[in-house]
Amino acid sequence: MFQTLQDAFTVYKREMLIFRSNLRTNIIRSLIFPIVFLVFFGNVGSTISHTPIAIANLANNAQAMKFVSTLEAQSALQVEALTTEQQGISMLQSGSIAVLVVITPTFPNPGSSNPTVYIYYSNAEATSLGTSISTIESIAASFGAHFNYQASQEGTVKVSSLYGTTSNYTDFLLGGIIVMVASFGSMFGAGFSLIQDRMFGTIKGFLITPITRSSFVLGKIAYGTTASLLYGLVALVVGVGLFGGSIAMGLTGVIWIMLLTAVLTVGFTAMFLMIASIVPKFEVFAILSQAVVMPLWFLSGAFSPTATLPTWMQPISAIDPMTYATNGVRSVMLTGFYSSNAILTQFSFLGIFALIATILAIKMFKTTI
Amino acid sequence: MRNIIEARGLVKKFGNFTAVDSIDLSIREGEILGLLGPNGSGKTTIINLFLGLLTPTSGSITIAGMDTSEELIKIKNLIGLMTQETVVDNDLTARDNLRIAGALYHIKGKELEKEVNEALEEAELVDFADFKAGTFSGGMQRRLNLVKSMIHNPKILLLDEPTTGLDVQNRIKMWAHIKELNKGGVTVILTTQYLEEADSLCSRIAIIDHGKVKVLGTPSELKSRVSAGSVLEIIAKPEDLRKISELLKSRFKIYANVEGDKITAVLEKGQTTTFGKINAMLIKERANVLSIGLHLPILDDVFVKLTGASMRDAAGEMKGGRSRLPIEGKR
Repeated sequence: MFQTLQDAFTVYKREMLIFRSNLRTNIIRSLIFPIVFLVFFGNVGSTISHTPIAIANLANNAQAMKFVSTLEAQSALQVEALTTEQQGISMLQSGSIAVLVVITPTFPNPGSSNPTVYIYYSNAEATSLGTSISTIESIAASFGAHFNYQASQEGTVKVSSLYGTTSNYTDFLLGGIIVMVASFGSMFGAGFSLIQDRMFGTIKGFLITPITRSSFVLGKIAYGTTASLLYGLVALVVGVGLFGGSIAMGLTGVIWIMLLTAVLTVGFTAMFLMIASIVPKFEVFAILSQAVVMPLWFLSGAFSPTATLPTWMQPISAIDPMTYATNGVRSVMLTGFYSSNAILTQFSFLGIFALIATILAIKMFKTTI
Repeated sequence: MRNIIEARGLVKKFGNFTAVDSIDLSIREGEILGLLGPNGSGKTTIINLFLGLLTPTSGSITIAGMDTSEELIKIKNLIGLMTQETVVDNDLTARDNLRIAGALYHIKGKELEKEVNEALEEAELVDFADFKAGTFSGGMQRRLNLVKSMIHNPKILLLDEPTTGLDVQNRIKMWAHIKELNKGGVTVILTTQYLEEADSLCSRIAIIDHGKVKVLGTPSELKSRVSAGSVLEIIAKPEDLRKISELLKSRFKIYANVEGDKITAVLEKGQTTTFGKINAMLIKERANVLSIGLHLPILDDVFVKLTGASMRDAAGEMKGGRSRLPIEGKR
């Protein structure tokens, strides 16, 4: 056992020496993803000003007047006053406003649990309305009013606050990006290097030595995980440093993020090693790996909350290891609170995934050429 | 001398293709055995089977008294392999290449440093120890590769076409290195396409063709197998080649081999006197002969006699794409 680990360390050392000699290329490659994604997607919904909203004030009391004037004072909102609810809904449907707020005659009525404020918005713009809606919501709440969301157009959907409590989309996206960059990194890591070893014949240099295949595979996994962690860290630094992302939990949060990423990428590295064991060529490996990793990534809620996925995708999302890592990273970054329940669920799921993938990767590794 | 490697009824099939066809081979401790044959004849497959890089379809291999199917790990400690392609990590320095290789054979600490330094000296790479192997010339990489495969001081060294792709100078250097290792007690098994390499290096030669050992013996034994006589060589104008070979067949019952503008035929001991008659016949028939001569057999002639093709021919056949080992590209 000790010998196995020692041999694995030798394999790891070799990989890290190669990695170090190509460090610049590797780092630059790992910079591209987070920068591109944060530039192009990160600005979605992050700084919305003058969102056109309309208010139908059906209550005729001082509290309601005060509520309206507070809303009007928000620079993020451009408020238009209406007299009927129907008028607002047709405006919403024609796209001239993004949100319709209806104040019922009983407003604010803090004693009752019946909603006294109705918030209508168009599904088409749901993703960009996170901040506007939460602004309205919090102002309404300050009056003690209960509120109800309604999406307009066909059918109504109740959607809870999209991107955490106080965050913008950049913060939301960053969590997903870190996990994604790390798992893409594990694709370029061990799996790629195994294919390369086979192509250049360097694999023989290992197969003819007395080391076991567990040593070889474990060494590769250790390398893949280290590289992926580094990529994840680069993404984190880019997100926080260049794009003003924040981690609600602070430095402790960084440790949690790294731990989550580590356990996830052990599993991913092992999974890519399995693929590399069964396919002979770079091209096939790249296609197959992307076919696996892209859906997992989208299902993980990296772009939008998993709650917005179609029903049939939900169960798949629930068994996607990336979902667990993304959720964990997001709790740490957005809410600043990582419950022991979540820690237990996420780490045990990711741990089991990593363990099974590692065992399979060892079993599937061929010791012949 | 005891046998250090024994292969019995060794068969390796890739799908329908039989790369190694029930070979029995005993390799003596301390010898240099050459496996000679064209590309795709099964030489490399035999080498790969010895080290467990391939699993035999049937048959057994015993190395130093241990069966490869049972004690492969112990056996691996005894064998060094230099493969056909140069296998060093280009991104690593020569020193790191050797360190990693040594560590994989569980050499540690001071001993490892000692072995690494010795190896660098042997390969004449001391001055380049901390340069990346990728910056080396082909010859330097090959030398690094050889000392890398010897880092654990194995008793047996397998060399798969050790000099293919090297220039003359580096080839001679490599030969000297191999001879030196052998003097130090290492049993060497090498595959080669070069007859002169086998001739000058090997104590015994096995000629491999179509996965079978055609003949096994010392270079001089093999040469005497051709004949105690001589080899007839005629160079003629291309248009007359066929005519001449037909004449040789009909008049003298000599079956000649035509290659390029050259006709070669083995004259048995009794036939040497016919040389004059052949000469006279060619003059009489007004054949456009540019040169005609007799020489003592060389290994090439052995190969021609045994396989019906010259080494160069066989290699050319492979380049032409009619690979005898279609699976090779796949692996």
